Amino acid sequence: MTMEIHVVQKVMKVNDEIAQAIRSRLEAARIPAVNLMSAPGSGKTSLIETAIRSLRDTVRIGVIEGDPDTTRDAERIAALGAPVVQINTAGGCHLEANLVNRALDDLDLDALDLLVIENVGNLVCPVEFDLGETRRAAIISIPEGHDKPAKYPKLFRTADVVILNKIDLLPYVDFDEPRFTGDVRGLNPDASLLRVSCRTGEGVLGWLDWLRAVVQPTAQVGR
Amino acid sequence: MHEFGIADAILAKTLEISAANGGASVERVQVLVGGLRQLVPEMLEFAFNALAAETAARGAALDVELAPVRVVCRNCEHAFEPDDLFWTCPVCGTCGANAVTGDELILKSVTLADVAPETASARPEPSGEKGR
Ligand SMILES: Nc1nc2c(ncn2[C@@H]2O[C@H](COP(=O)(O)OP(=O)(O)OP(=O)(O)O)[C@@H](O)[C@H]2O)c(=O)[nH]1
Ligand SMILES: [Mg+2]
Ligand SMILES: [Zn+2]
Repeated sequence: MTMEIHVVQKVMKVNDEIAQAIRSRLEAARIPAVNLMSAPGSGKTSLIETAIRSLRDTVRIGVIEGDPDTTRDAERIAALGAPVVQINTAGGCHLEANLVNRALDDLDLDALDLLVIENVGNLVCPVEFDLGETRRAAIISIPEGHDKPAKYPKLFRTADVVILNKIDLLPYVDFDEPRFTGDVRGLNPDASLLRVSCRTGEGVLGWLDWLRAVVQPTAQVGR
Repeated sequence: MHEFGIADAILAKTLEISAANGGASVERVQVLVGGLRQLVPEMLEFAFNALAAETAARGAALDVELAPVRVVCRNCEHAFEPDDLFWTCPVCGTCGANAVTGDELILKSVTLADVAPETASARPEPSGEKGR
């Protein structure tokens, strides 16, 4: 005989449950987590390096590096003396909660103030997987073009901060910044929008302030 | 290509149900996918069939039903199905509405073939109970 069995279950149940467990672990350790998402090469690792160098004395940053195949990014972070765990996704296009949960075992959470997760370079897949993060950051760089928010709307709709990196390259590329800004605002009026150059240092203070506010949401009084 | 990760989760649950029913072969699997899920139904079917090749779900049909996106205006709370990128409210013109549906990703049902009546279990979670 043939039998139809009604299930009605969330397909992402397992991932979502592990993400919730991560959230509890991080809350218990009182550290927020930021999930960095962008296309390959937009500057995720550069932004983390900048943060580690500049906040060294005030915010202890731990890093989880998602990388399809190499340990290069983890080596860049380790060279700065920050605790880092490498997750090799073996070609996989995004991080999932179980990988992050395992990586957390290799970090001393009590010795950290902030966890930064560098997702795999990809504008579509990472967006679909909750990693138990506190904040989501979408990074886009000038050479990629101003049309990316319109083409990959979900990343921008779900981001808490949108970082436009490599603004030092604006003079050399026909990047329509007003159009870009309008699209980001239209998709997500609540997101913070930062302009940064990891190369010249322009706008980096905004990125550092944003991170400080994530670590200490109440310490924003002095402005 | 996150279709593979998602197809894998669908397959795992499907095979659990098959195993709970004496390893019956799977004929059809129905899933509901919200319009915000960034999934291409054909890719999902392809991934599911590829992963299922050596299992009890070999050759099973994956039916993908699409669920509409519904949003609520952040200003006037008007509920609507957006037809533009910015989810602009047709009543007050405010953009960036909040999604209420569209993120569904639900396994609705699994149809098994050749279920021996004595091994049939209507519940998907009959832990430990094994058909022989
Ligand atoms: N001109 C310029 N180059 C930058 C800037 N930020 C990063 N880069 C360069 O862009 C390249 C990629 O930067 P990464 O930080 O490795 O980018 P990523 O997003 O971590 O890359 P993947 O991990 O491979 O996805 C490197 O060569 C950086 O030196 C910037 O603000 N301006
Ligand atoms: Mg990197
Ligand atoms: Zn309205």
